[in-house]
This record gives sequence, structure tokens and C-alpha cells, in this order.
Amino acid sequence: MIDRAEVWVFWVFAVPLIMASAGVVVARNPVNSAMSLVAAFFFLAGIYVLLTAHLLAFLQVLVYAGAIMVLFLFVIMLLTTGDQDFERTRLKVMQVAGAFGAAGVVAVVVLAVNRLGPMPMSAVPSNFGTVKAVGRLLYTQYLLPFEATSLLLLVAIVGAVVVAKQRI
Amino acid sequence: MRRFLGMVLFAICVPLSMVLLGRAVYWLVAGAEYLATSLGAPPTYGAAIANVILLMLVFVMTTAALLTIGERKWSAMIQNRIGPNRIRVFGNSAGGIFFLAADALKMLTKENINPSQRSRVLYELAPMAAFAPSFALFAVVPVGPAVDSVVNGVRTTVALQVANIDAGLLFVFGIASLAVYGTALAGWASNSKLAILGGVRASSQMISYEVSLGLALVGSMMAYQSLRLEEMVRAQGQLLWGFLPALGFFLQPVGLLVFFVSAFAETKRTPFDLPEGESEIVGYFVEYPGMKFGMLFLAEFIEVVVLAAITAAIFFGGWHPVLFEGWLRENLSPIWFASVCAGAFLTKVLLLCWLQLIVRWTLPRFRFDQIQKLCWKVLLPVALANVFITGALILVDPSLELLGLVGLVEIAAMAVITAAVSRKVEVPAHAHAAAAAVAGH
Amino acid sequence: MDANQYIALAAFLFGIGLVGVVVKRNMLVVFMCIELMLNAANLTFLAFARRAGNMNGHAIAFFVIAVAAAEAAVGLAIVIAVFRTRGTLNVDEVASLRN
Repeated sequence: MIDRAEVWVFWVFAVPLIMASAGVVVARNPVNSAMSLVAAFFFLAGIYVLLTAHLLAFLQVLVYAGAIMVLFLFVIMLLTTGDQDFERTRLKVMQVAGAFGAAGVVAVVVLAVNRLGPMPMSAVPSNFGTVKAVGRLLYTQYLLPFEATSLLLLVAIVGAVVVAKQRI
Repeated sequence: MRRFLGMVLFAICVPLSMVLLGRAVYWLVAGAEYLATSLGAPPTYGAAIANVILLMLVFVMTTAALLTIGERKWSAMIQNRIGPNRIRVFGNSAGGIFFLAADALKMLTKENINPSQRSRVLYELAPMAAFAPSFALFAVVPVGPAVDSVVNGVRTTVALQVANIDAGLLFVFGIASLAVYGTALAGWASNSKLAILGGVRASSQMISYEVSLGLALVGSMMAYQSLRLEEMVRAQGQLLWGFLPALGFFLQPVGLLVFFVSAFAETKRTPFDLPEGESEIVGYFVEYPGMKFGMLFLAEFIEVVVLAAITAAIFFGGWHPVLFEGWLRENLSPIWFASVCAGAFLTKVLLLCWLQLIVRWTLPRFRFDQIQKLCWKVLLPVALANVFITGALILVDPSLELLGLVGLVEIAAMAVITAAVSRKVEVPAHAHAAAAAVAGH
Repeated sequence: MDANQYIALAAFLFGIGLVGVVVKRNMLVVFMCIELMLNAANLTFLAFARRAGNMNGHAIAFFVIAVAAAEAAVGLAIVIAVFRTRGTLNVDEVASLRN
């Protein structure tokens, strides 16, 4: 019963996820692309919850949908003036090649996964993926990468200011 | 004198009616659990659905709708006017409450004029995108404590909270950060210069204040050692030195200040109403007619209610009826004690809404550079310092008493600074008379 | 439920992101497609973490999100700088390093 429900919920999130992420590529307008991507991130967060990755699901919404994509939207609004039809200049050859290449990658991955046979999920403790458990892991085993990430973010802040500002 | 008595009566009646409302909600949630168990479902399903309907749809929606009238009336009092009183039923204007019906009727029956160059899908989507997140925020707010009871032969708890999520505060930040899409999209999709100015202003303002909004609550997370709002509320029931409740107000006064200011900026109300700015750019919703505008307008008031609820839960003890709590716990039956708690919470929410109305009508609008400066140069460093100091104090003294002491010192310092900085403005006597004459009383 | 579906879903997401990177000419949209590919990688991490029953994958996914945030900040700054000097967002027209 629970397993069956999980399958249903998976499809409820997976199908819109694929559609929304396809929308990112199909949409001609960058704002529409951005909004599709926001929707995709939202459904992806649903999939994360299904994988009992609760902390990551909330971080997904918080960081991706709430911060990064707002930044994208802001830059799009700032820079996209008038009608700039980018897609007129694109090369048909590249389009076809890209589609084929991507299809090839997907096919290889799906085949490889199927070749492995079914990979059943293992039973997990009740605190799996909660803030406390993941936080403890981050502050013990992954302390060095964690601190390195904070340094990276600092560098990124300074770098963004230096690059984007004309006069400092 | 009559006015004073009326105010006293009002001040007594509001908490009492909130307690009765709490009792009614408990009763209805228990009823929903009974219904769920009768249908063979777990009782929590019924409770969740009942809570969504009663708390989110009925309480938040009604309060937000009433606030639209309350704000008009309150602004009239501040500006020495009478306020909305033209619609009368049996010769009684009832505080302008009938304007609610009139407004709703007006919004719903207005002609639907849409800009022809709009971006169709996003234009329709924007009001919903503004409306939905602020609603969803209320899902994690614990309105009342959980009461053990036996429903239909099943041992269960009746709680006034839609979802008790493990990462409750992260949910709050995540969903609150989605609110910006509504305004940004409304500005962009209308294809109007004024609207897009509003949208760009909104997105830059909200993305800035989100940072200090999150950092302001880190201190509270550390003090109460949880991200669950329900646990944070429960932790505020402990006593420091045996008499002072460990409210966020005492432990984290700086956090409260930074949080309240940042959240106020997120609601885009007056000191921070650059995205609207009626006198300069009208706002991101210029091109919206009828009920679509109504939704954008109402979203603001829902944000006010939700902000008040979250502030009350994290900084003002949530459902703890701080005064006489021990006496109430001993002398009331559990369900009535829980109702009193829920009533206390709802009263706090209303008081904080009222505080926001005061701020809205007493402060002038910032300039845009001032808004960004306030965020990045004042609130953010203060919030960061608060995180460090709180962490250090908790490390030194895990019983929170040192933190409480420092908090009290901070409150005193803030009071002294406020008193020292505030200037006395001499108002000539005839100004009062003139204003009274203009207002007609 | 097996991990296979999740991995297949991640493969699809990655493929869509790859198509976007190759096909789209707007710098910002290309950038978004890269984010999509990063998310696909995250999904595989979490799926395998759930399958293995330990949370190392969660920690890695956390770092991916943090790095993506840094990358978005710097990347958007570069986009703004490029737009300022070239006046375009088309990746084909910003190719002066090539010749």
C-alpha cells in the first residue's frame, strides 16, 4: 500500500518535472524559461522528499528556487530589453547534433542502470535526512569541505562584486 | 469617558472571543478526526484537513480581509479623520465593516481590462504566485498545543497545527523567498514601464532582505536547539531564574528587531513600499484589473498576518499565555487550557498586526539607496554579530540564563538609545484646533 | 520502489540540460540549463544515498547546492560584464577569443 502510494507520488512529481525542464529549453522567452526552471526545481524538491532527503528538499527550494532563480530573473529583467530573437541565428546542425548527443547520453545511462538490475532501497532509520542527522555529518566528517565551501562563497561574493562593478 | 470604557470593553472582549474561537477550532478538529476514523483513515488526516480549512482559509483569510478595513479605520484615527463610514445598514456604519462587502463586490464585478501586449500565461499566474506562498507559510505555525484525547476509540492528539515539519524554519525561509515571484512577474508580464520598475525594485529589495531575515532567526534556532516551530514554542515555556519565561523577546531582542524589520521589508509595506510607491510609479500591479488586483492587494495583508504569527511564535512565546500560566494549567481542564493557549496566540497575532499598522502609518518611505544601505550595512552586520554573540553565550552557559541577562541588557540599552535619540517636536496649540475643525469634531 | 526510476529520471534531466546548453543561444538560458544538469547530478546522489542507506550523498548534494550558488553569483556577474562591453547576450556573438 505504502509502496504503491510512493510510485504514484513519484509519477505525480516526475511527469511535471520532465515537462517543466523541457519547457526551459523549448520556451523562446528567457523569463518563461526561468519560470519553468523554478517549477522544475519545485517538483524536484518533491522527489527529494520522496527520497527522505527532507533537509535537501527545503534547501533546494530555499537556495535554488528562492535565491538563485530570483537572481536570474532579476538579471533577465535588467538585460533583456526589447525583442531579441536569439534563436534565429542558431545553427540547425548544432540543434540536431545536440538532440542526438543528449539522446545518446540518456540512452547509455538508462541502459546501464537497467543492466545493473533492480536496485532496491534499503531500510533507513527514522532520522534519515533530517536536519540534525545531516548537520552532524556536515560538522564532523565533512568539516573541512564545509569550511572550504564557506571560503568559496566569500571568494564568489568578492569576485562577483569585482567583475560586475565598473568602478570600485 | 464613554470612549475609554468602550476601549476597555474591546480589550477584554478580543482575548475572550479568541479563546472561544480556539475552543471552537479544537472542537471542530476533534470532530474531523472522528469523521476520519469513522471512514477508516488515520485521525491525523482529518486533523490536517480541518486545520488547513479552519486556520489557513478561515482565520488567516478573515483576519486579512478585516485588516483591509482595519487599516483604513486606523489610518483615519492616526490622521485625525473619521474614516470609512458612508455605507450604513440601518443607519449604522459599524466601524466601516460593510466596506468589506462593497470592496469585494466592486472587485468582482469590475470590467476585466488586460493590457494587449502582456505575456499571457505569466500575467494570469502572477497574482496566484503572490497569493499562494504567504498562505502556505501559515502551515507550520503552531496555533495551539496538542491535547491528548481518545477519538472514536483511537488514542490520538488534537493539535492546531497543519504540519509539524522537521525543518520548519527552513520551510518558512524557502516559501517566503518564493513570494517575490508574484511581484516580479506581475511587473514583467504587464509589459508596462512603471510596472516593471516596481517588479525590479521588488525583486532587488526582497532578495536583499531575505539574507538578514534568515540570519536573524539563527540565534533563536541555537537557543531553542530546534528548527521545529512547535518545539521552539514549547522551549519558550521554561523559566529563567525561576520566574522569567524564556521568550524570544528576552533572549533575542536584537534578533527580533532585525527579523521584524526584514520581514516588514518582505511585506512591502510603507517604510519599504518602493515596489508600490503610489506617488511615483504606482506599482507592479498598475495593469491589473478587478479581482486580480484584489489578489495582489490581499496577498499583502495575508503576509501581514503570517508575519505576525511567525513573530509571535518565535519571539513572543507562541501559545504560552505567559501571564498566570501555572495557575491556568492547574485550574482548567486540559482542553480549556489549550483553548486559552490558542486564544493567547491569536490575541498576540492580532496585537502584532496592529503594531504593523502603526508602523505603516507613522513612518515615511525610504529612498531606494537607504533601503539597500539599511539592509547590507546595518541589519546584516547586526544579525551576524547577534549570531556570534548568541553562540558564544550559549556555549558558556547552556542554561540560557546568561543569554537572558545579556538580552535584558540589550533591551535596556535599546530603550535608553531610543529615548536619547528621539526629539521632542513642539506642536503649536492652534494646529490641533485647526485639525479638529477640519476633521469635523 | 527501486532506485532505477530515480536514476532514469536524473538521466532525462541531464539530457534535457545538455540539449539546452548545445541548442540555446541566450547566455542566461544556457546558464539555467547548466543548473538543471547540476540538479540531475544531485538527484543521483540522493537516490544512491537512499539506496545505500547512508547520508554521505546528502552532504555532497549540500556542497553541490552551495557551489551552485557561488557559481550563479560569479556567472551572472560575468554575464552582466559581458553585456556591458558587447551589448549582447548571444553566445555566438561573444566569440572573440576564438579568432
